[in-house]
Amino acid sequence: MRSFLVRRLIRSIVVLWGVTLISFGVLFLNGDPSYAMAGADWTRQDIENFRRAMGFDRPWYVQYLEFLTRALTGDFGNSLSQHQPTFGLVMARMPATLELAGAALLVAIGFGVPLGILSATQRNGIWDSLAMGLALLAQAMPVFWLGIVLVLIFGITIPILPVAGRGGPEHLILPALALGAHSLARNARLVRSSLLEVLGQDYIRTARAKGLGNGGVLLRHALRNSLIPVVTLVALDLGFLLGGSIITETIFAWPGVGRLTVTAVRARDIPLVQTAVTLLAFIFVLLNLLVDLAYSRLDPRIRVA
Amino acid sequence: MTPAADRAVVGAPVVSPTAAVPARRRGEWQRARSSLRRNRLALVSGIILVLVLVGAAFAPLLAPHDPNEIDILNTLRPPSLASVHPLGTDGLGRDILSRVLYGARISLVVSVVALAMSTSLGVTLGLVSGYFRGAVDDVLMGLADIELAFPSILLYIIALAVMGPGLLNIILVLGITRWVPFGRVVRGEVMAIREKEFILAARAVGLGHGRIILRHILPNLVAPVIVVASFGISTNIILESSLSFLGLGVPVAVPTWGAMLNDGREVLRVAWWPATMPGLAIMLTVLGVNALGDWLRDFLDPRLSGAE
Repeated sequence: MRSFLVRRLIRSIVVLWGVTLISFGVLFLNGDPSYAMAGADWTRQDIENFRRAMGFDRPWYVQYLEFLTRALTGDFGNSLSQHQPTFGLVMARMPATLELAGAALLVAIGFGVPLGILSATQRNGIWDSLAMGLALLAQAMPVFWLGIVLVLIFGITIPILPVAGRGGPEHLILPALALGAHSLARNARLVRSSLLEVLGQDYIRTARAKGLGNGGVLLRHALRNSLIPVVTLVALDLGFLLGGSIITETIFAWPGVGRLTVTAVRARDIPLVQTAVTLLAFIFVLLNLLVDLAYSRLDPRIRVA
Repeated sequence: MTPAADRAVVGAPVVSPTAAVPARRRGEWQRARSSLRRNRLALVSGIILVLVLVGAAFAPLLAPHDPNEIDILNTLRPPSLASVHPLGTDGLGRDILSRVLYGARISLVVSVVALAMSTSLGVTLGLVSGYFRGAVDDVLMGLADIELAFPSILLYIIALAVMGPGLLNIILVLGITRWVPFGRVVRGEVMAIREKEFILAARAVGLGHGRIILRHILPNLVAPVIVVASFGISTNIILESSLSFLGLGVPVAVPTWGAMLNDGREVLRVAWWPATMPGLAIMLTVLGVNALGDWLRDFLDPRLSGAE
């Protein structure tokens, strides 16, 4: 168990280190910031002095080490377009993004798992066809297209739900649906096939033979084992949801990190993009580690693997 | 963002045993019928894809208008088969049908070229990894793990933010980063193949590694690679349109499905069609590719048929 923990921890740290390397590399490749910051009346000597003063003339590894130590204290530099520390700008938007991703995860699990159970227990029935049709559709619908369809139906044709901004719970419904639909469909398929597999096992027959009813077999024996793969996929879901939130937030004018990132990209505000991506990745890695830990508690086989 | 990767890589070990169940329970008659139904779906998908391909290839001949021709007097005309704009016009009066046809070119070119890049990269890395094992394998699969454990769209965004939007840049970014599903599948296959007797025989005859890999292992990888590639296409189409939607993809002057959707979003309150038409185009193309991929997988490699 301990070696499993250590291995996972090391992997998370390596991923994070890779992220800082990428985000630093990107800024470095983007060219010397002195030229971008220089005023129109600066002479060549002024720029050179500025370079020295800011330390941009030093070799890249010295600059990287400095970037790393400053990043560890939450200092990512200033935004070029908003002239404020980027860390504060991104963290102010983080709760909105986590709220949206959390709601979408709730949609994906809260509807996906029951749908999968229904379609596995009533195989080839109406729920089964519904779930499989939905899965096919959701896989072919990019987040932004589904979002636009939802806006069109529930915001414009039958205007019953708000389509822009953050507010009460009703503001969450459409963005969470758009963002969560893909994972919902995948969870339903996964639960279905996993449950079908478990239901064919010998110990399920034994449970039935001892006189346990359908509900009992399902609750006490089948579900527990068939939900394990879903837990692994939650980790993948989180990556998909955090990534997808960038697009969903753009469609629904949701004031989160994703929308901030897109605006920053358009303004070519590289430090802000860099900070947003790094922090999103950090949160993602952290959540992933937690999922891994939960997984190892649920399925002891994992710890040895 | 990577439905194909999830299906091909993550789903496989969990569910494959269920594939045998329907065959046993249902009779031969029903099995034949369901296979027929599946083939019909594949047939319809094939027709859709041929239409998309023809539309893309002959866009200059088929398009009734110049896709970038602005017509201020005819903005937001609703779709009507009788008019000169069968799918209507957008907020600038541009003909939507022409733009959808030209957009198909971008979607297909970006997806296919990027796919070719990631396929060759993934197959090479997977071969090296699975055949030589050892430290190379550890490093490459560690890299693959990291890529899977990281929301790839963040990588695309930061790369494109620096490189700037552009056809070549988007192809490069997708081509280089999407090797992982290929690498993993190929590695697994190679590890299984290299333990087979015919490889042992080849080695006993005195063949070198290069010859064994090229002549004896590579041909056995064709089926699984085609299967992964078929889902890679639809993932690439979705990614390209997502990035174009965000304004990170292809320059504004070129019509793309993603950018059209973004334009259409701005006039959504007054007109549904400028966003809906490219959206339907994306959806139908991806549905077609996926259904055909499903069929291809069953056809080429029945072992994989439970892998979803």
